[in-house]
Formats: sequence, structure tokens, C-alpha cells
Amino acid sequence: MSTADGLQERLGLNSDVSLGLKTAAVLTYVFLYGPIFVILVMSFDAGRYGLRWEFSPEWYLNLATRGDLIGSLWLSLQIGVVVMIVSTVLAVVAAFGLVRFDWPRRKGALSTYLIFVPLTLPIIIYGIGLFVFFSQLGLGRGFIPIVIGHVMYTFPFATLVVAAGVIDLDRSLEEAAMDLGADPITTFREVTIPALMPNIVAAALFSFTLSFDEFLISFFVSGAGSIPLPVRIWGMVRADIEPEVYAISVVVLVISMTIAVIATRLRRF
Amino acid sequence: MSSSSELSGGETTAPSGFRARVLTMADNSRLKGLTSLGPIVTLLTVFYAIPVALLIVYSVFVDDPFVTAITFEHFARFLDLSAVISLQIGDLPYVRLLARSLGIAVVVTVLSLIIAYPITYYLGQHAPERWQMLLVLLVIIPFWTSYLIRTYAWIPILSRNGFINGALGALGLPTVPLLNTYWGSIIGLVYVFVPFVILPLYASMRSLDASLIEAARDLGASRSAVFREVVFPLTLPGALAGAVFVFIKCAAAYVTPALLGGTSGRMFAQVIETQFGTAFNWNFGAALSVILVAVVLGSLWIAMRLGIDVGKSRGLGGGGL
Amino acid sequence: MSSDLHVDGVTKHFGDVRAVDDVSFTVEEGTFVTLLGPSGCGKTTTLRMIAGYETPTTGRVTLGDRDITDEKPYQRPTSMVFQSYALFPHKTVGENVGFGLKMRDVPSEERDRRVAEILELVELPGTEDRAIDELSGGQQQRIALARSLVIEPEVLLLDEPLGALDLKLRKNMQVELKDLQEELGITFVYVTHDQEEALTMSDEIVILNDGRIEQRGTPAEIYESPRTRFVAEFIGDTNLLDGTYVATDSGAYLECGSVEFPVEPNPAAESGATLSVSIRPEKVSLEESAARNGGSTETDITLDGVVDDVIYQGNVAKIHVRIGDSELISERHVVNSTDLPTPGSECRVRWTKEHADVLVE
Repeated sequence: MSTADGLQERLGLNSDVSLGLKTAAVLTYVFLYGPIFVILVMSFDAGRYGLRWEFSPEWYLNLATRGDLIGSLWLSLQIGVVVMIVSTVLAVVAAFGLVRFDWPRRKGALSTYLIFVPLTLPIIIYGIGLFVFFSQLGLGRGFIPIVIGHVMYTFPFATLVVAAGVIDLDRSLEEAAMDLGADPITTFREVTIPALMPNIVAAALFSFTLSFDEFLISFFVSGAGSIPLPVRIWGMVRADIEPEVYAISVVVLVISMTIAVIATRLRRF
Repeated sequence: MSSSSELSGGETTAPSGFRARVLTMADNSRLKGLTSLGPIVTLLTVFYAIPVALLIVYSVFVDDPFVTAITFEHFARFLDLSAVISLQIGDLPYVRLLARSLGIAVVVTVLSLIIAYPITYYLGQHAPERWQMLLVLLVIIPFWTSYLIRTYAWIPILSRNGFINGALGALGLPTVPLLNTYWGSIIGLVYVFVPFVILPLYASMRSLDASLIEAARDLGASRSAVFREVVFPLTLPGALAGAVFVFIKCAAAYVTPALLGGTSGRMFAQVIETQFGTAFNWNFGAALSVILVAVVLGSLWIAMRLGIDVGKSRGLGGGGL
Repeated sequence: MSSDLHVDGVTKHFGDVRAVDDVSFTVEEGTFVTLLGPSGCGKTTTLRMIAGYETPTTGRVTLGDRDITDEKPYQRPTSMVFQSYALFPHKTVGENVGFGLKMRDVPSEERDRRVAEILELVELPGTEDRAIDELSGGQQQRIALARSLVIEPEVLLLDEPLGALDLKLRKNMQVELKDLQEELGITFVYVTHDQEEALTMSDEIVILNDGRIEQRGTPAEIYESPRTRFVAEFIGDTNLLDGTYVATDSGAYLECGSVEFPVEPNPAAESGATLSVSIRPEKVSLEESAARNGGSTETDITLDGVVDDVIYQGNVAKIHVRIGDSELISERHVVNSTDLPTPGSECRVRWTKEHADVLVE
């Protein structure tokens, strides 16, 4: 009986299930990408909320004249690069600290918790806290507070990515290098870092894109003179009168997706 | 080096040589550990722990911290005991808002699980091997893109004359209010968070041994029985890990309800933002923040007590809501 | 000047665990010595202390007159071939093999020449520019060997280097490694859990169990005269007869249930002790009829029994014989399978006294 069942399955009954699952999968992808497609469609729509969609590149052309948007994009890229560098360096150091040293049980656990708390607490709480903190210090808002907030937010993620590499790293590679006459510093430079490179690059790209797209922390600690792009987009969406928002969003999505594709090719998931 | 080797030659001096060596090594290693984690722990303390702790400080002062008196009035304003005793739920607007936020978080979590199961079952067990990488990549990419943009993309879809109502109208059906409603918040949150369930669940589905399914089928289990008896229990840990993450992130959501939820979809984080943004009542805002953090950490604690491996979801990262 | 390797009273603790316990042995220059034992016996830890990855808790490691106990791995004239090969995945074959020379500041021209030479030696000439992941497991193994040999170490340490290869390749490599060692005259310290590998390749075997040395000796000594029950069971198959050991002035014998037979006296064993005697199955001969005359003599032991079971294995057969309460296996070459005895038939087993070893625990 069971073999007959199996045969029936192979002959096509099973495809019902497959078909159902496949349909569900397709619908999920439509759900995931539909809104992104909508942004793309809207960015080329001549009239907005008009009854008819008409192709027009005018919003993209308008972007060139929007100095405020270009400035915010440039600021976000700058912040992203600084955050990427700082966060990645911290992540490499932290990953080795966490994975490689035998901590007395409690101290090890404490530093682990401290590093990973930022992953669980609501970002909005941190944004507000940072805002209050800088107000108290009289340092106000701007580039430096944003960078600090973003580093605290991105580097735990970056640490996880690098630490995964350090854990997987075959210790005998480093031992072999030392065995062949490389001192610890040479070993680190010649073997450890190159072997970890995919993880380090993935962590860097991840840090950059998290910072580039970050809104809530920036929302609370950005000032009049330095508004990162997500905060600018938020303002445009709330004001609801600037159709260029779709065009600039497409630019942001293209940058993020390009980085995502590069990064996911580097690292197994 | 040479002197130490001479020292440890004799029987009596050997232990002290050994001890000295162990101590130097331990010191060394701890030194290395301190130099690697010390600066990071310092940075986190100064720029993360202190800012968050500052909110706790604010929450217990009448106004400016350490200048004005210590008080619990801000917490009392949240939880008015006289209203609790007289069961005047209507006089507890903040409690009701928190309850609604948690309710929305539960609904979003359940909907995310319902959406995640079929696609991950397909990806993990049925998808052709050569497409698998690409298909999973397609789930990961949204992680790396702006949740703000992906959220406001729903405005033209959900609005009164947007895509959905346009389609309903074309079919001669009555339109439904979606944007700026309770369901607006829920749809937006499910959209943003469903990948957080899909990815850990996919990992569980992938590691599920296909021969277990075949064995169950072979023993006469129907397809639904296979799912109920084999697939579901074995993949539940991955699903729950993602679900906990979605729940705690939803409970504190701000951007999505602010853009899509209107009044009926309003959530707790929005009222916190109001205290700092427009009401300028930092102390009350800080008290509400402390309550939100307590709820999040409490949920995590309960999840861990229930044996859910919260760490499974952590590594996936992305999306700051 | 000789550069024999001395491991002298070495002990290693990991926390409360004593991984290696007072181990001493000498490896003569140019010999092939195997550290053999089950996993967790301390053989790898011992090797790692010779290589310098672990520091002994107590004890010294010396090479000739040079005390290397506290030297770092990169200061020692030893080199290691890892079980996982530990080839650098981001470097080419040539860069891997040349790594040690580069660390020694050997000029690149000479480096290239020596790399080419050593690749020739391991029969992979011209593979300098290949990527590591393009190589098969066996080829990677050779590259790992070449990488260690090219720096001309005084001692080559090998940590189960053939463990990841399939059986046939492993057998070939065993012979090749032994030939290579003899050709180069480098001291090899080899770690394995595979007793057959140890017997095939070694000049001397050091058997470790639970962090201690059980026995040292040439392969023949180890196989033919095991001193402990552990060694007898670990190396090859054996018959173990348990009984009471009785030593008298005129000789020693074992009381084994209803039978007793003479054994070689063992000075390490106390008279009256309960212990085991090991007899290799191929040393036990079998006579199919119990009708022949003659019992045990002082050097030849004969016991009557009944054939219990006959296990045919192609070139050999194992015949299980019941003698009183004990069972004994006799192994013989099969020339003609019809000559094998049938279960239930009476028989007589015979062995020479010197082939039965009195074991201490």
C-alpha cells in the first residue's frame, strides 16, 4: 500500500502539493517585491495619484536641481563610509576578544551581553537616549552624534559576522604558519586576516548599508545643517507634496541592493 | 628563558616555575583580552549604556534630573492606580495604547509565521537545488534595503484611491479603508518583518532530513499528518526564534504605524516620540521609555525561560525598527 | 653531533584534566617513531608539545643538546603536517610550499627552485600556480608534506596525515611516506590511532593510553610480546585467557577454570594474581582429532576442545574452539575450504609457550 502511494506520488499526485507550495512561494515574493516595484513605477509617473499612469523621467531630471537631496545623499554616503571603517575595525577587535580569550565565566558573559544588548533594545529608545545624552552635554546634533549612534548600532551586527568567521577559522592554519617560521604578527597579517577577508568585507558592507538606511537614530540626533537622506525622505513623505521622493528612493534602493548582492556572494548564510 | 628552564630542573623549584609560567600566561591572555574588549566595552558604556541609563534617571525626577525632586508621578500617570481599582479602563489611555501595541505585535507575529511556513517549506524541501541560492537571496535582499522606503511604498497601495481600492473598484466591489487604520499598521509591519521569520525557519527546513518525511509517508501518514507530526515540531525552534524577534521589534515599532496606521493603528512608541518631539515632557517620555524597555526585556526573558533559542534570530540582523 | 629528540618526564594538565602523564621517550635521529593510541590518549597533545603549540606543565623536550621546551613553534627546527593539511586557502600551491622559505627570507629565485624541487619529490611537478581547492585530497596531502619538507626540518611531525584519505590511497601513501623518510633520513614522529598503519611504517612504536606510555618497542616486539592487556587488545586480534597466575621455583602456570597450562614467568606479575594471557590466533594450531597422543609438555601446550564455530574469511578462517569455560580462536590460512573442521567436532589446540604472553593490567 505504501509503495503504491509512493508510486502515485511520483506519478504526479505529489505535484498538487508542490504546486500549492510553489503558488504560496510566488505570492510571497510578489508580497516582498510588489511595493518595491510600486516605488519604481511611481518614480516614472508624470502625474501623481493621477488616474492614468504616464511615463516621464522628469522627477529623475529634477533630482539634479535638488541641492538639498544631493547634499543629504552625499552626507549619508560620508556617514556610511566613516561608520563602516570604525565599525569594522571595532568588530574585528571585538570578535577576537570574544572568541579567542578564555574569560572568567562571568566577565566573558558580561561583555558579551553588553555588546549584544544593542541588537535587542528598541532603536527608538536608543535614539531618544542619545538625543538626551548629547543635549545634556551641550553637544547638540549633527555629524559626530550621528556617526557615534550609527557605530553603536552597526558594530554588534558586524561583530557577529566577523565572529562567525573567527569561530569557523581552522586554528591549524595559524599553527601551520607559525610552524613554518612566521611570528604571531606575520601570521596574523599573512594568514589570519586574509582567511577572514570575506567575513570582514561582508561586515564592512553590512555596516555601511545599515548606516546608509538608518532612520530612527538620525531622526533624533540630526540637526538643521546635517540631514541624512532617510530623514530627508521621511520629511518629504510626511509633507506629501514632493513627487521626487520616489526617484530618490529608487536611487537609494539601487545602492542598497547592489551592496546586498555583493555581500551575500561573499558569505554563506 | 634559559634561566627558567634551569630553575624548573629541580623537583622543589618545578612547581613554582610552573605556577609562575601559568600566571604570566594567564596575565598575558587577560591582558590581550582587555586590550581587545576594553576600548569597546568603554565605548558601549559611554555611548550606549549611559544614554539609555539617562532615560531611567529622567523618569524618576519631576523635571531636570538631580535638581528637582525624585518622583514616581510619571509612572503613576501611566498606571493610574485609582483608575485600576475602579476599573475605569477609559482613564488608562497609555495602558490601553501599550496593550494595543502588544496586540498588534501578536497579530503581526502570527501572520508572519503563517506566511513564512509555506515558502520556507518550499525553499527548504522542494525548490530545485540550483535555484535555491537565488531564491533565498531574494528574501535576504529586503534586509539590506531601507525599511523606511519599503514602508511608505504601501501608501500608494493602501490609500483610498490607491492600487488595492483601484482594483476593487474595477471589479465593481466596494472600497475598503486601509491606509491610516489598524490594518494599515499590521500590513506594513508584516511586510517589514516577515523576512525575520522566513530566514531562521528556512535554516530549520533546510536542515530537516528529507528521509524523515519519506519515512513518515512510507508509514502511512497523510500529507497534513506529515506536516503536523514531523515538519512542524522539528522546525518550530527556528520559527519561534524568528517570532520572538518580530514580537519585540513590533512592540516598539514607530515608523510603520506613523506612516500607515493613522489614529486607530497608533502605537506606543509614537506617544514616546511625542513627549520628546512636541510635548516637551522628557520625564514622562523617559518613564514610558523605561516601561517599553521593561516590556521588551520581560518578553525576551519569558521566551528564554520557555526554552526558545533567541540567539538563532539574532545573527540575521538588519532593519532598524 | 646527534640530534636525537628527547621527551623527558613530560606532563600536561588542561585545567583538572591530566592529558599527558609523565611521558618519556627518545627518538633517534633519522628514525620513524609512531605515537599510537585511541583518541584522547594524549598522543596529539604530546606531538603538539614537541611542535611548540602547547607548553608542558612539567618536563622537558630537547633536540640534541638544545632545550626547546620554551621555544615558540616558529623558533623550532620542527615542522608539522596537519590532519586537516592546514593549507592556506587564499594562497596558490607555490605560495603555500614557499611560505616557510619566505619566512626565512630565502631569495625568491632560490625559493622558486627549491619549491620546484620539492614538488618534483612529491610527484606533483609544475603545480605551483594551482589553487588549493583544485587539488584532490591525496594531492593536498602531498602539498602539505612538501610545504613542511622544503624548510628541511630536523624533525617532521605528522598528526594523522592520512586520516582523511580513502583506504586504497592510504595504503599507497603509507609505503610512499616510509620510502620518503628513509630516502631523506629525517626524523619522523607520526601520530595515528590506526594500529595497522603504525605496524607498517614505524621503526619504533610508542603506545599511549590515558596519558601514559603503555609500551614501547619495534612493531614486532609490540605485536608479538604485548606486556599489558591494553596493548594486546589494541594491536591486532588476540585470545585472552583469564585465570590465576601461579609462579613456582620450577616455572609458572595459569589456572584457567578446569584447565591449567604452563606459561613463561613474568617478573612483573605476582603469584596468585588474577590476570590474562594473550595468544595471537595465528599462533594457535588446531588438530582435528583429539585421538592423537601426547598432552602438554614444558614448551608445547595442548588442550582438548570442541569446535564451536567456523568463520570463513577468504584467505583465512577463524575457528572458535570451546575449552572448558573459555573460548579460543585459531586462525589458519585456507588452501582448500573443504578442509575446514565442522562445528561440534572434537579437536585439540596447540601453541608454544613463548607465544603466550602473561599480561599485567
